[in-house]
Amino acid sequence: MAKTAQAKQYKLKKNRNLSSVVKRSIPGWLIILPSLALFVFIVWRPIAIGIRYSFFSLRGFEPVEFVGLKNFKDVLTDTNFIQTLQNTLQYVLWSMIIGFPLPFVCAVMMNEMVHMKGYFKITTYLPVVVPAIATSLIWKMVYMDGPGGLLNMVLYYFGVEPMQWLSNKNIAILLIIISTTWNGFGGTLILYLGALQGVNQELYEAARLDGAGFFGRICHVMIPHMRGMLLLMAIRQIIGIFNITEQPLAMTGGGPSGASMSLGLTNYFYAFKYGQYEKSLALGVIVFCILAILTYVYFKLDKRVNE
Amino acid sequence: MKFQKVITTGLTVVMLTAGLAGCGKKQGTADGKITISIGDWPDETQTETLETYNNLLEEFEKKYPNIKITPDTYRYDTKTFTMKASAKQLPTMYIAYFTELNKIIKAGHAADITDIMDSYGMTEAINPKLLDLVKDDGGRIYGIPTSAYAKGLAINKEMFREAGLVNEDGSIMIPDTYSEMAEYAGKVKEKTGKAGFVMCTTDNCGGWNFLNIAWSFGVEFMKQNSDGKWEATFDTENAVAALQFVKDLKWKYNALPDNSVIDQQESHKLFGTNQAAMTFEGPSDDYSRKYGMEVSNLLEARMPAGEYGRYAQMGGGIRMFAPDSTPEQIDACFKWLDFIGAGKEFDEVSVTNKEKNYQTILSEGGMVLDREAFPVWINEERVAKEREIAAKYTNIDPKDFESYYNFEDVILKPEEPVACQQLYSVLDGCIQAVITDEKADCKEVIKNACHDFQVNHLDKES
Repeated sequence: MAKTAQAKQYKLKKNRNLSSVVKRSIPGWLIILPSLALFVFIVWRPIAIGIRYSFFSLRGFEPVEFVGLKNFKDVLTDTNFIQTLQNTLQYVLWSMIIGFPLPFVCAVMMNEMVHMKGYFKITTYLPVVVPAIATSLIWKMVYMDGPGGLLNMVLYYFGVEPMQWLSNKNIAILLIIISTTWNGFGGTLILYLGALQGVNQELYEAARLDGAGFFGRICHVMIPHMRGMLLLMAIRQIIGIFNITEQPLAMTGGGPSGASMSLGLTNYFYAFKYGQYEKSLALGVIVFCILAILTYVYFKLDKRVNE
Repeated sequence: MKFQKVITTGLTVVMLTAGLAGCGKKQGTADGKITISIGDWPDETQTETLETYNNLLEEFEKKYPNIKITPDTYRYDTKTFTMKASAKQLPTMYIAYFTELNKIIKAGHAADITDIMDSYGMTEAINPKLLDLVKDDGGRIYGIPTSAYAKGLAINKEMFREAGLVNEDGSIMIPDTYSEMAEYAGKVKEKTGKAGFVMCTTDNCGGWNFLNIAWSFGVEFMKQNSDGKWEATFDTENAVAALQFVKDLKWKYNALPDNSVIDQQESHKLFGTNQAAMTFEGPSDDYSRKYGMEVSNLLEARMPAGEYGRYAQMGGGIRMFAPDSTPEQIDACFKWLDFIGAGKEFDEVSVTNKEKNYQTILSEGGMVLDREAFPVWINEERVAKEREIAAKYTNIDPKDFESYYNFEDVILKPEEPVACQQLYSVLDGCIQAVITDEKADCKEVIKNACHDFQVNHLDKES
């Protein structure tokens, strides 16, 4: 009997606790409600609808008939798909070769600076505030073929004949990556610089006392300290470049002859050039899956860095 | 905490209200009035045209007090059209292009106007050749042609004179064949150092232009087999020869601009700023309006001839109606068209409004032609009246357009029947391949293009 009363009392107390927790969390829920609503309607709902519609044939944006994996098959069997995937990987590769080490090297150099550090911080960050499309158009003029192109003008000054730049299918991707690196490396540089300044100076002193030179201090103090951050940035860069769309769109239109076509641009063309929304959605889902895996890795690394 | 709750609830309500307010479109009757929206309304940058249209609107609503017009500056754009149509945000009446017609009808984004066309007597009044272009396979009508043109060869007279391409009587030497065109283009480059010919190479525009060359070289791009399936048929010597012609323009005659990635806007800019002497284009005042080229500096010729004939692609605009428009709304749009002189009726008011329109075009640096290449209406009296008004305001020398209007041996062709945008894209790639690489093998390029077009596009159409 006593046990039953005790159990009842426990249950009552538990309910009271639960209801007080719920009551206490209501304002919290209400505060996040607007953001939650925005996420649901602007991010999650379109993603869910996009995934669903990728299994349908569409009339405009209206699903007409369930077609299973047909849209995915159409995308994957497109004769240009492999080439486009290779191009996209080439974008990522060039970005890792040029765009990934450059901000780190600059950050290390800037960290060692005694004078004019503020000036260099501002000037290297400035390109970040220029929109990607504007950057692409500026660089398009730099790379323009013929004697009117800025780069060719410089070459002409040194007595070199004008060359083909974006029209050269072998270097179009590389040139686009150089422009994106110019546009984005300032932001990454600032992050690196922040992390570098967080390295305990005593560790440098200790290394110096142990006889470590400049490179020794980088290898034994700086790199171990920055490893997590570097991994994080690498993953972020891979995800960002994998989606590259507006830069090839503005600079080459994917040409010459598809040499700079990326998966993102193909997706854009499916939707806005040909009105093949089914294929666009299917390709979107494929890219989404690839990037979801990378994002998973990103979060795992992020957790590791924060720990 | 209470304050926080109030703020949060308030924000949520505002957001939901704003979200819901953005959904759907109010069309139809309001206060017993028929409300319609008219697309392609001039925006604030077109001061003169906007004023003319606003005055017309005021007069129209006085004449028809039961109709209310909502101006809509939306202009057809492939990037936004489907979104607008799916969200039921299309203007009641909008203008699209011949190239887009099949896609729009297939997607159900245009109203069937066959019955109202019959009731207004428009079906019999419109040039049957143009009317056929706006019908679906079942013969139902989905639009009213507003204008039609054939592609031509635009010539920059000043640059031709600079290159010495003038006859003994001082007139401009017009290339009659593709080989003459290449020769003249090369001469312009040699004499002036500027491009003799500009052709766009990207955004599907290259393929769109290449079609005309290819047809004249005897190319057939596709055919429908007895089983209904489409087959790409351009892996031929003729197509290779047509592509070789483009390649020669670049490498043999050195006649193309240095830049190889050229969209239509860039092509217009080069031609309109005396950087290129020739381009494929129907009569356009883009050069004078946007780039300050003198209208008198433009000579429009018919397309050059190839071994298999002189081909020119037809294009033009079509007025179409939102699929959810009521018959009353479409009727109101027809009344508006009559009022501005674009409908079947062509009374005194229409004449005045047409004149006002020409005055506005001239004040904005545009071009008024002395006649239409292909009259939309078959009523000879009306066509004569329209020509009379156009002749009053024209700012071109008819001699400069004499060659263009001579359609005697020009074979006019509409779009290819299916997947034309995809075909243009594939052909863009072919053009880019041969003008960026001197060693490109035209035969190989055409073979791959034909295969890609079949596998990636036509196989999906069947």
